[in-house]
Amino acid sequence: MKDLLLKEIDYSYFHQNVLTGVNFVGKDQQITTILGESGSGKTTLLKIIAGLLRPDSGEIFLGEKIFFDKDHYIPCEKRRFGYVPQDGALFPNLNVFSNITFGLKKKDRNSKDIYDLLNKVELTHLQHRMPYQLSGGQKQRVALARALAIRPELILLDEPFSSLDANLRNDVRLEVKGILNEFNTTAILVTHDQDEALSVSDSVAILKKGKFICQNSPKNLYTNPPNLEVASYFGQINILDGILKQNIVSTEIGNLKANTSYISYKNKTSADLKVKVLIRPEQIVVNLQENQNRKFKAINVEYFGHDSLVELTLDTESKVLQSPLLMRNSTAYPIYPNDLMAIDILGEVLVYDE
Amino acid sequence: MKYFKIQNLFLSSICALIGLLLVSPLAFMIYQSSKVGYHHLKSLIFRQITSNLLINTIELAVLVCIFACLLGTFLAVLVNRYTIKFAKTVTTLLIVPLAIPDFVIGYAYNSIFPSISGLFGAVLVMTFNTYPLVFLPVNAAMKRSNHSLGLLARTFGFNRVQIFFKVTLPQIKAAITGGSLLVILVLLSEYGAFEILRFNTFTTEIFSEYQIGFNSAGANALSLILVAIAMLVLWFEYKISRDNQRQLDNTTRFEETTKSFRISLAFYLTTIPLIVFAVGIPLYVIFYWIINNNHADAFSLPILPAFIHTIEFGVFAGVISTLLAIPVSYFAIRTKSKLSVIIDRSSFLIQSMPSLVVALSFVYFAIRLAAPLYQSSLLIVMAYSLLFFPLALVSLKGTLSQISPEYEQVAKTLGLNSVKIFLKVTLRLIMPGIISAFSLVFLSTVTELTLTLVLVPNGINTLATSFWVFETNNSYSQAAPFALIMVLMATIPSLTLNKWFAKNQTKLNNITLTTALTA
Repeated sequence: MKDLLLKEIDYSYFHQNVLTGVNFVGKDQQITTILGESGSGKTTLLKIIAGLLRPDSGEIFLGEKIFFDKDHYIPCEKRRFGYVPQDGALFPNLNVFSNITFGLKKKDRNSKDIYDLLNKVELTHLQHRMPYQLSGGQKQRVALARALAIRPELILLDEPFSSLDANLRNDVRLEVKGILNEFNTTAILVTHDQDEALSVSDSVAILKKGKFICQNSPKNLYTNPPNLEVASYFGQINILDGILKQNIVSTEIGNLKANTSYISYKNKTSADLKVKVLIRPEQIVVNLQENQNRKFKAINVEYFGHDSLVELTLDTESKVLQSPLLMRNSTAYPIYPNDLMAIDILGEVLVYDE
Repeated sequence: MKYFKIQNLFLSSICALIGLLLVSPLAFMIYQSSKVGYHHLKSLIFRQITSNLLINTIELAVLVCIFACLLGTFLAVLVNRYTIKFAKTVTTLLIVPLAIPDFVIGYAYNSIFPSISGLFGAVLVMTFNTYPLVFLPVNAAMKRSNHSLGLLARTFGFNRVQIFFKVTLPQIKAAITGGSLLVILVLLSEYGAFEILRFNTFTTEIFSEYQIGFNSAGANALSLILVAIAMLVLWFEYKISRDNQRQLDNTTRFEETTKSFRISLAFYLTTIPLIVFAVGIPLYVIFYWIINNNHADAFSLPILPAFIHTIEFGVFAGVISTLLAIPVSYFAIRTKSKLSVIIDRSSFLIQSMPSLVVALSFVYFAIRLAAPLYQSSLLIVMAYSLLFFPLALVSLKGTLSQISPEYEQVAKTLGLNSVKIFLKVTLRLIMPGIISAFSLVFLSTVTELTLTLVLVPNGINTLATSFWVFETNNSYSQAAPFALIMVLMATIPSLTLNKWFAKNQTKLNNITLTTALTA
């Protein structure tokens, strides 16, 4: 197993702490995504892994091999990690083939492996083209192939899809994921795009202000976030106040079945515990059978084609919701502003200490 | 840690040496002045001639700036706000005066109309030569300015004049001021045109004091004042161009322009006479003297040796300046440290020194410390290289700043060491910058007169010195072929600069032009 392991990495720039005590694991042959907002330190961390920046302290391992600690430092050019920058950074004066073979010795440039690589990334027919003759997606494939050509043990991708337009982005994302899986390479991807993190990765680590706040599989992070902060990284959420009694939480929209996994042990025993309740918009569905108790009113409908996001409020003057309730609704059953309805909450809702 | 430090140490040592080289002419001039003694220096500075020269300089600067600003701003506004037929072609012609050395325009007017001299002649000739220095930055600022603000003002009922003063002018004010300061810098360093037009300025006085038995003390004292004024102007220019760049909104806009017959008429009524006077007449006069050559056959003139020497000096200066500028530009752009900023700024010191002052500091240096170098080709090439170093530096910095450091980072991750990265990646990517740096220095050397007159080795003539020898002997027809060759050879840098201004509006500041034109 050649996991990438970062221990207690500190990095400061002009006396300002960019990364503090960062611990991180990139699993062998998996794609691990570092998700963070602009300025969170994610690109800095990637450059530290690449050896382009030198941390102030900490340790970096790949498997058993030490790349950095207080006594060792392997410079970037000796690490042989593949690096794919944001816009590909293809050398504008070289054609596709020369770009891909740039990091190889002359004798290796015409080897069978290279032509296999060209085939796998579907660039054989484009090998004589110059970078300016390529589309955005093709450029990214060349950049990836160039990084793979040196047979790296680790490949680092710095927001590789951000310069692509929305339609192309999804296709290229899938292509890149396919190529990385085919090469069984350990990959670290940096992005600020939550959809990208969820769709491409085997594991996602969230970096905030130079510290990781969580690392888990995309599914777990979405469906079972350890706290509300992590939940807020992935799509819209409803947060309600609630009173927890055993496994039932009473909220302003009614009593709901609660998942208390994240309630701290000492609080679990207390009666009538004040909690925060997390409800994903897709957990809320219209109850078509209920005709009598239609107490919710749609106040705003945002249409997305495949579904719509509906803002709901209570249809009474005596009781007002703290904030409108967000619901995802399939466009097969369209909802219009001012429609009245009854709703159901699917499954358990996650509750957290206040 | 060691790994990082050794590379940086090597590069910073080279750059520090180049920085010392750049500071040396100014340091030598100050040292030379200090040897005279405080009281003597004070008496040399505060003499009647100084105040006369200051008055002359201020009069000239005020008048030329007013005319250059009026012409440059008026034309830039019209070109950018109105649809005028053939405006692009006319705009190209409008910057051609940059390609004609000032002393050639001076010669053209003075040889045909000897009465054009003194302040009037100087204002006329220098206005024709320097209005593009205001036109170019204002034109660039107009392209960046927000036209919709003007349209908005129209909906409030503002007329064209009100829109210009309340909306357009605030957006181009910095460019006009920056352009005017460049004009002043050119005026401060010009020698040839003022000598021909018999108008006394600091440079003409310094030159004559230098010639009168190497009166180094007097010439030095005046040089100090000149450099102080130039530094002040350059500092203002730097501040304004920096503030201007901070305020820039880099969005490229497509602006709809309006058609107006009256505006087109006004444009042509201004530009046609301007191009005729600034370009047409000088070229006509050159051809007139070539055709009416009563003295000798043009083929008997020593054109070829002068041409070859000019090319030789230009090539060597171009190569040396570019070689010096490569590490400094790399250090300035890629390494953000206090030292890199200091070394980068030291090029300002050389920029603040008019070519005559640089030449004199080299003379004193050779006489005092390196006698074998005096009157040698090596000395003049060294002087050219330092004088035009800022030009090469700006070219390379402009190119390098547009090349993402990611190319070098990728190469590093692919296993290349720093030397290989520099040779295989950086050098190849900055090649256009290297070529343009070389070309600009080479072509500026070709038209450099003042420094050449002071430092050219005995028995060697360049195009500029040959022209000067014939011109000062009133052998206008013999001077004409040299003038023509210089004008033709200098057309290229002005076109390059124009292209650069269009391409890199935010990257380049006006310093490029300053250095090109202080030649």
